[in-house]
This record gives sequence, C-alpha cells and structure tokens, in this order.
Amino acid sequence: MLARENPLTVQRVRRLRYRLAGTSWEALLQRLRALEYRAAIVGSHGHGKTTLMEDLAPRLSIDGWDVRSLRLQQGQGRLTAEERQSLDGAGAGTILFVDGIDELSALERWRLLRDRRGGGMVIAVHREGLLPTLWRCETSPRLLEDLLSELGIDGERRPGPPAERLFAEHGGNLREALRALYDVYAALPVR
Amino acid sequence: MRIRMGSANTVGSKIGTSIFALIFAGFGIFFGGMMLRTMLPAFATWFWPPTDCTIEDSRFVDSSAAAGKESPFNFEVHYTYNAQGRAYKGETYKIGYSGGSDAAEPQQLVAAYPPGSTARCYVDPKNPTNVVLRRANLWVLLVLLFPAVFVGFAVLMLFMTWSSGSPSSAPGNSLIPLGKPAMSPGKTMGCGIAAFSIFAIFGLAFLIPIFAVPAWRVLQARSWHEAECSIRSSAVGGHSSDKGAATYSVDLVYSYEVDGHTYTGNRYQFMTGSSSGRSAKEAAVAALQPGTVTRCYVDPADPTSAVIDRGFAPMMWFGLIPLLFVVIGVGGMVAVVVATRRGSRQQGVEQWLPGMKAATSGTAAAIADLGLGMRGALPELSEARVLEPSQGPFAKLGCTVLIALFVNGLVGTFFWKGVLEPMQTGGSTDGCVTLILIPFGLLALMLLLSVPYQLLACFNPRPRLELLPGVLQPGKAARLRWHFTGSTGRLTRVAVSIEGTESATHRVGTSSTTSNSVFWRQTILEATRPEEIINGGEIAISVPDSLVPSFDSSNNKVVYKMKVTGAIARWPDVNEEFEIQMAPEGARR
Amino acid sequence: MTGTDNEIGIELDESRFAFSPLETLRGTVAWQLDRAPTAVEIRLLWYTTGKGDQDVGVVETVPFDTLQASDRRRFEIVAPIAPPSFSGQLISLQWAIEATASPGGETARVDLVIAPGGVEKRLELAVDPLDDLPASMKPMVSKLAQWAARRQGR
Repeated sequence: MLARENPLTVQRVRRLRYRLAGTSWEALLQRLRALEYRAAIVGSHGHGKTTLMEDLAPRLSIDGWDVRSLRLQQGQGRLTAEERQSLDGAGAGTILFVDGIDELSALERWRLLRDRRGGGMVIAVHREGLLPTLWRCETSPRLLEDLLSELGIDGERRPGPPAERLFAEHGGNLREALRALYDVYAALPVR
Repeated sequence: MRIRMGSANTVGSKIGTSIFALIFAGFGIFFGGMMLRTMLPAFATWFWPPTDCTIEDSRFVDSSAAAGKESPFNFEVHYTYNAQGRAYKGETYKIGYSGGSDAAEPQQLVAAYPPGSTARCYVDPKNPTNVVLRRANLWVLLVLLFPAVFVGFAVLMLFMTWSSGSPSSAPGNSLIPLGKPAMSPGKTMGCGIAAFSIFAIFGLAFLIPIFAVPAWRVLQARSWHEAECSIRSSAVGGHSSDKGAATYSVDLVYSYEVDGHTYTGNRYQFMTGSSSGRSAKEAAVAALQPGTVTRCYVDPADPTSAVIDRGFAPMMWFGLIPLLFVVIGVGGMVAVVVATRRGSRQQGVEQWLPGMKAATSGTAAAIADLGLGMRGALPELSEARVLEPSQGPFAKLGCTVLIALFVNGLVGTFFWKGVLEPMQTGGSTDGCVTLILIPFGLLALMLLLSVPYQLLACFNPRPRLELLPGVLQPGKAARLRWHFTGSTGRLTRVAVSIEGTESATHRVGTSSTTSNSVFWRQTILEATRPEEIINGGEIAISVPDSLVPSFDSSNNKVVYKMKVTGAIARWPDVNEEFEIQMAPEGARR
Repeated sequence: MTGTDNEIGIELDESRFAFSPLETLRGTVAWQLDRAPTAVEIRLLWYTTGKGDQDVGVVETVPFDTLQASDRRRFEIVAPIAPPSFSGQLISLQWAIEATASPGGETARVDLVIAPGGVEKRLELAVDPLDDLPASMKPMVSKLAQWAARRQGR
C-alpha cells in the first residue's frame, strides 16, 4: 500500500483529538484554575499527554491566556537559547506548556519550575511529583478501537491483530500500536 | 524489511554514568592529592629568596660496604650564608635528598660545589635556618598529569551526560526543509586528536625512560674511553614486590682513575632497574669478583660517568612495548586528520540534497541546487567519482583498542585486587565484589576479543570503487570500476549490490522513532573466479527508470548505498558500505 | 466558486493536474472577499505524508499586487526537475499549488503530480531476481545481465 493511502499516516493520526473520559473540558479547566494554573499531566509513553496539551492550549487561549509551548527533545538536558528567549516577556497572562520536562537536567528542571515570570505552567511528565496532577492519561483497548473507528478503519475488515491484542502487545502505548498497524497496512499490495 | 530505531537516555542511565565518572574522579583526586601533599614541602622552596653562600666543605660519601643500604652513595656539603643580618650555617643540598643508588651523581655534585666556591642557595624567609642549595625539579610536577587525566575524563563524561544538545531539526511542520546540520569537522577532528593523544602521551612517558634514554646512552658510549676498573664489591641484588615476585640486578662497586683522580662507579649496564633471570646475573657477578681488574668505559666529558658493559642488553627490547601505544596514538591522530580533510573535500558532492547548503565548487555547486527545485538544464554529470567507505578499518581498530584497553585495565585492576590476589595469598574473596565484577568481566572479555577481530580486519583487502558517472540517474546506465588492494588472493567471493532505502522519522513529545524500508536491491556483481577477483574489473550498472532521486529532508529520506562484501575463509570478511547519489532524470551526459 | 463570501480558488488550465518536469503550469486564481486583501500569493510546494512527520518545501512563490476584494489573476509556474512526486511504503511526496490571502488566511490547495511523463513514481520493493537463484548460477546470470546493460547503454 502506498504511504499516502495508508489510513494510519502520521498526518491522519495527528488529527485525532484527546478524548476526556468521565469529565468535561469545563471541569478540567476548573480544576486547573483551582490548582492556580500550575499543574502536571501525567502518563506513560504513548498515552496522549502531548495530544491533551495540544487540545488544552486553544481552550486556554479562548479564555484570554497567552499560551507558550516548549517541546523538549530526548536527552536535551538544557533549554536552548531560542527557548530561553521565548520565555522572555512572559507576564501574568502567559501560561507555559512544557512537554518533556523529564528530559531536562535536575538543575535545569528546578530552574524552570522556579521561574515565576508567567501566570502558570502545565507540564507533561511520566511520574507524579513535580507539580500537582491535573490529569492522569490512561488508555484501554476500547479507546484504541474508538480511535481506529474515527480513522475510518472498520474493525471487521481491518487486517492485522484485533485491538485487544494490539493494545496488549504494546503495553497500552497507543502511538506504538498505531504505528504497528501502519506497517500491517503498508505491507498490503498496491491497489 | 522494516527496521524500527529509537533512542533512550533515561535519568537512571545518566545517574549510573555519573556514579562511574565520580568514582573515576575520586581516584584521580585522591591520588593526585596524596602526590601533591608529599611534593608540597619541596616545591615551597621556589618561593624562597636566593642568596649567596660559601661552600666550606663537600664530599662524596660511599656507604656501599654497609649491607642493606638502599641509597649508599651520598653528597655531603657544608656552607655558610647571611640572612636577615645574621650569619648561618647550612648542610641541606635539597629537600628530601638522602643520597642515591647511582655513584655518579654525588661525585658530579662534588665537582659542581667544590670547597671554597660560592654558590646560590635559597633561604626560607619565615625561618632563615631552613636553606637549600637546589630547589625541587619542576618537571616532577608532570606526574600530576596521571591523576589529572582521570579527573579530566570524569569531568568530560559528566559534561557529556548532563549537558544539552541542540535538537537536530525543528519538530512539526516546516515551510522550508532543513537538512540535518553536520557535526563540525573541526570538532570531530579535535575530539579524535585529543583521544589518541592520550595514548601517545602515555606511550612516550614510558618509552622515553625505559628505552629511549638507555638506547641513547648506549650509542653515546661508543665514543667513551676505556679505563681499568678495580671491582670493590659485587653481588646479585634481589628485589621482591609486595606480590612476592622476585627480580634481580647486578650490584657492583668499582674504582677507576682518570687524570690522576680516583672515581667510584656502580653502573653495570645502561638498562636500569631489575629483571627476572637470576642465573644470568649470577654469571656476571661470578666474572666480576672483588679484586678483579676489568675494562670499563668512561665518558670523556664527565669522568664520574662510567659503565662496565656498554652494549645493548637483550632486556632493553622490552622497553619498546610502550611504542605500540605511541604508534596507535600518532597513527590515530593522522588518520583522524586525513579522514576529516577527505570528508570536507567530499561534501561538495554529498551536499546535493534538498535544503543543504550549496557547495562551493563547479559541478558540485550546481548539483547542490537540484533538491529545492532547479530549472533549466542540469549540469554535466559525467565526472567519475572514487567512492570512499564511511569508516576506515584503522579508525575502527583504534576505537576498539581504546575502549578495550580502558575497560580491561579498569576491570582487570579490580579483578586482581578483589579476586586473584586474595586467592594467591590464600585469603578469601569477597562474594559481593566477585558478583559485581562478573558482568563487567564478560564485557571486558568481549571487547578484548573484538580487538584481534578488528586487527585482522585491518589487513583485509580493501575495495576501491570508481563510479562513472559519479552520480547515478534513473534509466541511465553507469559503470563501476572495481578492484581490491592488499592480499586479494585470500578472497573467495566478492559481491557488490546497491540498495535504496526510504527512511521516515516521527517525533512525538520527547521520543523519536525512525523506520526504514528497503525498496530496491540489486546485485551488480558476484565474482568467484580467482583471476577476476585479483584483477578486478568494470561492470555495467543498469538503473531502473522507476527510481527516485536521493532525497533528504528533516524527517524523510531516500538513501542509496553500494555494499561490497568479500568472503575470506577463517578470517573476518570484507564488509564496506558507500553512500551514492541518484540525480533526477534529465541531465546532460 | 459559489456566491458565498470569503472564498479563494484555483483553476488549472485544461484541468490538468499532472505535469512533467520543466513544463509550465498555467492557471487562474480567483477570490471573493469582504474587503481587499493585503496580500494574495500562489505557492508551489511539495509535502510528505506517511509514517514520518511531514516535511514541506515551498519552491516558488508568486505574489500579486494591486489587490481588490474580488479578482481573478493568471499565473504561470515552471515545474521543477526535482523532487518528483513519489510514493513508497513509508513516504509519499506530493506537489501542490496553494493560494493564500491575507489577513484572513483564506487558502485553496490543488494537489498535482510533477514527475517524468506526469506519472507518480512508485517505490515498490524490487526483488533482485538473482537473490532467488542458486549461488552457483549467480555469476553466470550476473554476466548476462551486465551484457544486456552494456547494450542498453549503447
């Protein structure tokens, strides 16, 4: 199957939005307000932390916040000069989203968390403890099935393993499960 | 075929690496501190002001007749000086001096400080009764380099573990694709030279005193004058280490005359120290019994320096072992410089990819524009190109040796101290230490075994490929001239193939995964006849017109490689890879 | 285009969407906006889709001046030689013409194929027939293939 025809391209998967289970966006924003806009989104790899941050940001923008995002790379260690510059001028109306704060060195992380120039900070982490937990990202085979349906992949005619087995094989990491399914489709003959 | 690649650099592994580095630094700081502590009193004399002193008396003291003395030859001196308006007497030559095992040095000092002469001495301003004729030799401070290397290595390791690196490309969408920024050739070269220079310095530090200096003296001694030496005492000296291994030396004391003056000598050969093999020393001592008059050789420029046997001792050849480290160090530095310069020259062609900066030279510069959408006629692509492998065998060997020596040295030391030495002395080993050492020992063994493998691979025949034209094009034929240099007769089979791979990288949050898929593989040569393998040849390459040009953007790549394998019986095979470029269709030929 | 407000659209001549390298793309961009835009431009770009993150390359930009709230303008762009449109298992590279208007950000995009003969190249796994042969036959068959390639080169 050609890459552009694959239903699981990165571009199509990126269009999937975060599904809040058991609560609403209003309730989540309310909780963030109660935590004085300093909170953490907690979850393992591929559990949707980045997607949740991406969906939370525009909702805060609508509320009048200036949302600035830092997306840190694996093994990065320190903020780059550009990233530091992006923090300059952050005022009470600015909220900083930091994806990957675990990748910073302990000293750099401590510095960043101490930085109170902005009005708030939301971080994505693998473990609790750095900031109060706003939301714990969980996944399930049901969620995987729902996402595949949203991608237009019918469960009955879908090649490859069923959602439950795919979920179990990848330990709940939905990103890896979807990438594994990409390979299944890629191996299909070109129409 | 899909290969999923990812990288992980967890906090846990960083902590582990840091602990290792801190242990290293601890060793260095501890031993460096101990050395510095013993050296400080002597080096404080460099801050004492000089003054003139008068030598009242100086003599050479020979205590070799007294048994068991480690430093039987001494220089005794008495002198007077003035300090802070008062007269003082001193008798210290230098801090820590208590004679030595070489008879020549005290005699040279007597000649340098004869009675009645004036010399410069150095007085402690806080206590004028403290005085020395000579300050400590600053070259001794170089020994601090040894612990400093440990500390420096630990600091470097900590820095590399915890420091930041710029992201190699911007995440998410980019309007303009950016090629991956290449590591600065200067930095690569600097790191390589620094790493190999450690080898060279260590090698020289042992090579010079153990081999070079004695060898130089042997050569110089060819012009020394003969004299008659009377043996006063001779014996086989025994020296045992704390591990119980015994070594032996020929301990002689003899007298000789030069220009009416009697001197004392104790040098048998130019090679200093002791070695195993008692019987050879016994034979030498038997031939030089006390009272024997024999021939010795005296330095005409310095009569205090003499030797009985001025030839090249067989044991001196062992002094060449550190030369291996020097060769590896210097060879590695040269290889790094050559490889970096060669890489810089090749960038003119290899930068023909979307988003990369244009090269500066002729055809390469024109080719470099192709990726972003070139219009008009393409440049001539008829230039042949000699393909170079991505990494040379000596570079691979150098890296392997460096790592293997380091790991084995470290693990071996702990293993000896923690396991073998207690076993040897009948003690018990620490079970914990043994358990911890097992995985490290296995790693060390694997690294050790990889060294001969890589060493053997260095002597492999090497493929030399010339592609004409140097850049392939879909639908166009090309030619490959190939041959092997080196011992080609050992090759039993040679195969050359070309592979095209698409590579896609996906980044989410902090993790990055790259998938590869081979979409084209073509074998262009399979040779098994000896004459064909030895002589090489020229083969035609047919490039399907369905292929796409090489492509390189931030997250997506199409890469072509030529792979050469050469089978050698009971020997590491030849395996080399060469990246090649595929131009878009439509170029003038 | 329909009669609704704030629209922008692209029409390619002869409704052609496939081009060979160095061919001229001709077409019309038309827009109908509330008020005169500050900028309208046509961009020729390529983008990737597939298993990797998207890369985008804007190859040419054609701005228009003296802009009115509603207008039609002609454009001509020469298709570049590379990269050609292609699709493999992991990567698809596609070309597109995009029209954007500022400050409203109205956008129209038309996907194209730019490749030799106007046909997208496919990266399908080409298994070397030699791989399936017994080892003893490979040298002989390889020589035959080289002879055929030399003839092709002539």
